[in-house]
Amino acid sequence: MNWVTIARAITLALLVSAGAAEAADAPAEIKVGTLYAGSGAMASTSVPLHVALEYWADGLNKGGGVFVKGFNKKIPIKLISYDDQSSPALAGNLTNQLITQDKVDILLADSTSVMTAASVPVARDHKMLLWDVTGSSPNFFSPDNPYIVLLALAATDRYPKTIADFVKQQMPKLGIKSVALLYVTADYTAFQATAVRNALKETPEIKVVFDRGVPQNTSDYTVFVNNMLAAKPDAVLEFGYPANELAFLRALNDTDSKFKFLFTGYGLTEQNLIKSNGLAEQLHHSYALAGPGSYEFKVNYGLNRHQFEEAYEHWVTSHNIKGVEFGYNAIAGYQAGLVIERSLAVAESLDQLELRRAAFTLSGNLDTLCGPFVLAPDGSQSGEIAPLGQILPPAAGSKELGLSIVWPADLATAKPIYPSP
Amino acid sequence: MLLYALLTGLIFGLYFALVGLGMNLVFGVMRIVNLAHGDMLMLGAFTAFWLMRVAAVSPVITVIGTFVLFFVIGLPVYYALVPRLQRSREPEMLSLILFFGLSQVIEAIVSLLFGNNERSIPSRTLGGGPVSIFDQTIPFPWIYAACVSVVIFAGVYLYLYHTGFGRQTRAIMAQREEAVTIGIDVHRVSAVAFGLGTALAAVAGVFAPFMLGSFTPSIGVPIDLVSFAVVVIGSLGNPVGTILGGAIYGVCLMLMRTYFSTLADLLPNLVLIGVLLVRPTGLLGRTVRHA
Repeated sequence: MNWVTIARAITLALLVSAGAAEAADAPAEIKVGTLYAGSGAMASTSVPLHVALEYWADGLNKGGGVFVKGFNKKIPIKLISYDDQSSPALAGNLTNQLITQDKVDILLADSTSVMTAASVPVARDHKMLLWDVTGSSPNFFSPDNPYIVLLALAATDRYPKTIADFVKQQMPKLGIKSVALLYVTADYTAFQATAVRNALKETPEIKVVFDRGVPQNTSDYTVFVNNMLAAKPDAVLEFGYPANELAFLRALNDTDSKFKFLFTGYGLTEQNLIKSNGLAEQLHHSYALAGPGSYEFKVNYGLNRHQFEEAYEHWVTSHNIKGVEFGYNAIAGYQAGLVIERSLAVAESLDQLELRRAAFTLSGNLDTLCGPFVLAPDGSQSGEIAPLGQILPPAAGSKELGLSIVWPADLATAKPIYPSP
Repeated sequence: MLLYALLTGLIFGLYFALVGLGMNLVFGVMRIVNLAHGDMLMLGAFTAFWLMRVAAVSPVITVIGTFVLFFVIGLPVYYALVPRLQRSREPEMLSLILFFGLSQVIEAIVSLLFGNNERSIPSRTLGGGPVSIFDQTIPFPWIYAACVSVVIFAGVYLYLYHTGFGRQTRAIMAQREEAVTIGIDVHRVSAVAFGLGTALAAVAGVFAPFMLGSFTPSIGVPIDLVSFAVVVIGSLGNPVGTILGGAIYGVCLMLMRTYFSTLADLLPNLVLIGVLLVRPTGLLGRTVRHA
């Protein structure tokens, strides 16, 4: 045996052992850890999102799992979920448990900024990338924290861009001279109110005649509606979570009150919930950001909105899940899954910073049900900004509410109807 | 704005008194804190949702039906839990744990069965549009709920002060051991009081969708906190004090919402701390002399 043959044999042995090592390193499953609120104030937001994640994971597993570039193979997903009961304190503990006990590969936060806030510092301490689904508070993002990416909603200081621009550029033209602001004091809604307040400061023609924050668990808005009526505003802008929107619209209904211009934060996003509570009429001629639940963004990966709605409804029915409505949160959960799936397809390993790099490769290249996926350098979302819509009464012979896009100008399908008839 | 806050505060106060009345009655007779009280209210809200919104049953029949149904439900719950609890060394303390556990179980089961979405009932279901009182526009369901609360207070008063069973109930509230000595069937009277407490919570639940905007299976614990504040203001174990407690709480809440809306959330805690610091026995509580 000459030295060439020996060298060939050694090279072959090394190649075989390297292949064996790669196969051995591939995990039997990709552990995706998430929290959801099965009860409490956040449940109606969180459960539809979690159901969508289950749907996504099940769909992938039926096809053999998720493709992970680092192992060049499909690996089944194991979704590990804990119920944080809408308690931020419990969410913090459970995040820690997912990281230290379950040793998850992918860590997802519960929905909303209120719940995500508890997971951000824990993930950062453990150097785990937090896949933040809808926690859009700008407070979560800073250049020195690489362990977070926002998936399904523009950061809250960017999300209300269209309504802020509308306030500055269109309200004076419509003859609106006074505005009332009513908002929930939680991060998500308070930041939106601040963005609008700043826009109003730049618009001297408009005076703020009412500006109030309310606690998130406010369930009766009648006093606030009465006080706003006393202030006689031309326009009312209200920012709340879905439960607050119901209470606010209910107060309008109970007191037979109407404003000439009404904006609600979730009027379009949670329209099904509002309809099922018999309050659809209160939305007639009101304005809201036309998020993915009501406005169809074109996608370049995954199901389109109609296909996903059908698949989601079928999943909910076939799994006998009660009280879950299709809407923005369901879309957000599905989108979170798709972004993770696409990131794993380009990630060289499961290293957390490599996963972050992989997510950034999608920025500007992924068109989602929530709009274009664009990450800012700090991991916050700069895309996925919704246009402003005006909700119209159902057309003759239809039971469905109509929708006109009124801003920005390049997407507008109609001019705003003001004052509301 | 001030007149509106005072007026709606009094109306809400009557409703909050109804919310707390059952809890106080149960505490007065049995010396136990029923932390599943808010969940009974939530179940009452679900009952009203199905009867009034889905089956279009009239509000009056819904109120009476809910009262009877939950009174009957309360009796076996009493016999299953309370006598054993009272044989323990620390019934008051253990009742907190036991009924909190029961509350969690009820919430979990209802969430599993019916989901967590907010539910509400259109206000016109109660039959009227907004009402003008002193030039202030008040939703009709609020007036309805306040009137039903007053009728129920009158009924509870008549029961406690003008029936034999009511006198026995008051005897147990005043001195349980002496009531046993003179031959009162404490368990029978207590079971009725527990059934009554459960039924009152459920009737308050019938109006919860109208007074609280919407409801979910999770409203139990916040309602317990409100009930507890109302009961402590008036004084624990004194059902009449509950009406005063409700009125004070309601007016404070509406004033807070009008002038300090951001802090309205803190109200139950502030009021509780304030009353416990200034008058620990509650506004209508009797001073106890320790020998």
